[in-house]
This record gives sequence, C-alpha cells and structure tokens, in this order.
Amino acid sequence: MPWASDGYSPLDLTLLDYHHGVIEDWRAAITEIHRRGMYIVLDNTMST
Amino acid sequence: MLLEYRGVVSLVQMAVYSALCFLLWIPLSTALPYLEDQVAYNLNTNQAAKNPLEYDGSWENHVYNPSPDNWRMPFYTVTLDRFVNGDPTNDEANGTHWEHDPTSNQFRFGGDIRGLQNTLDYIQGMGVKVCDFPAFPCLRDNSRAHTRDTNFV
Repeated sequence: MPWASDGYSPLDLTLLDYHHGVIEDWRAAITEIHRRGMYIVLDNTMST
Repeated sequence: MLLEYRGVVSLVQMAVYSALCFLLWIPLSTALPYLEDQVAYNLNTNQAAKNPLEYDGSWENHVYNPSPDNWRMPFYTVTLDRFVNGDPTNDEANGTHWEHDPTSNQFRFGGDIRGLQNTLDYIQGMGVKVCDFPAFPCLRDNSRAHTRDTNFV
C-alpha cells in the first residue's frame, strides 16, 4: 500500500503521490524555483 | 506497473523466474489502465498504453530550463513530507483518517509541494541554489524497504 512518506519503495514511477499535490502544483513550484534562478534535482529510486 | 517480486526468497529463484519469463516471452511488466480519477497525478498521457515502454508525457508550453555547467553550489535536501504543509486537503488523500500525524516523527507529517513553494523565500534567503528531493515522490509501497509505518496500517 502506498503509505510511506519518504519516497522510497515506489509502486509506480508514473503516478505522483496523492499526498504531495497534483501535477499542476508541481509545475507551479518548479516554475517558481526556476524563476528565482534556482534549480531542482529529483532522484529516481528505482529499486529500493 | 512494475512487477513486484513478492514471496521470492532468493536471488537464484528470481534469476530463474526472469529467465523463464524471457524464454516464454512473458512480459515482466504491464501498464496500469488509464483512469480518469488519476489524471491530475498521472505523468503518462498515452491513454492506450499497454506496456510501460509506451508511456509518454510532456509539459505543454514549457520552456526547458537547462542545467548549469557546474553543480558546485548550495544544495538544500528537501524531505518533502517533513517540510511544510501547504495544502491540508491532501493530508489524507487515500481517504482514511490515519494518514498523517503532525506530532509524530515516525509517521507522515503532511508536507507537500505547495508548502515548499510557499517557503521559497526562506530557502532562497539562505543562499540555496538547488532544491534536492532525495526520493522521487511517486506512488509507493512501504512493505519492502521501509516497514516501520505498517504499525499504523
């Protein structure tokens, strides 16, 4: 069951965790980070 | 959906199983059906996908932001759930009453991406240049690598 909060043990790498917001929230945040001249790094945890 | 090797107790068994699947042309993974209620969370937009290799998705009207030549700059590692709760409506997104506990350090707190966005003044004010998410925030399973939360299920 998708309960853990830490981002490991992915069930599906194409579906976002419901608890962290929808795609539009992510796009808004990423856009704002870039607007501030900052960058964003996402780990892919394939086999944990 | 990625195939789960539940109940497979040894690497040998896993290797034999993989070899059998390969020899018999059994696909090791199949695609989840495209569901309307997951559209807001689904990075895949190919509704006809039968196999994860057919998944596809793009960010329309987005201008690609190139990576820097040199990453030697201040990083801030954000464990998203522990950070800031910007949208309380998604704290119990699975529809139960037992998905977050703000007073516990052993269970989901309720942080989300909107909370991070609301706090960018603070992060940028420290001189941080990169927000690093230590694990990709996708739908996940806690039954294998991290079992501590199962006490609460």
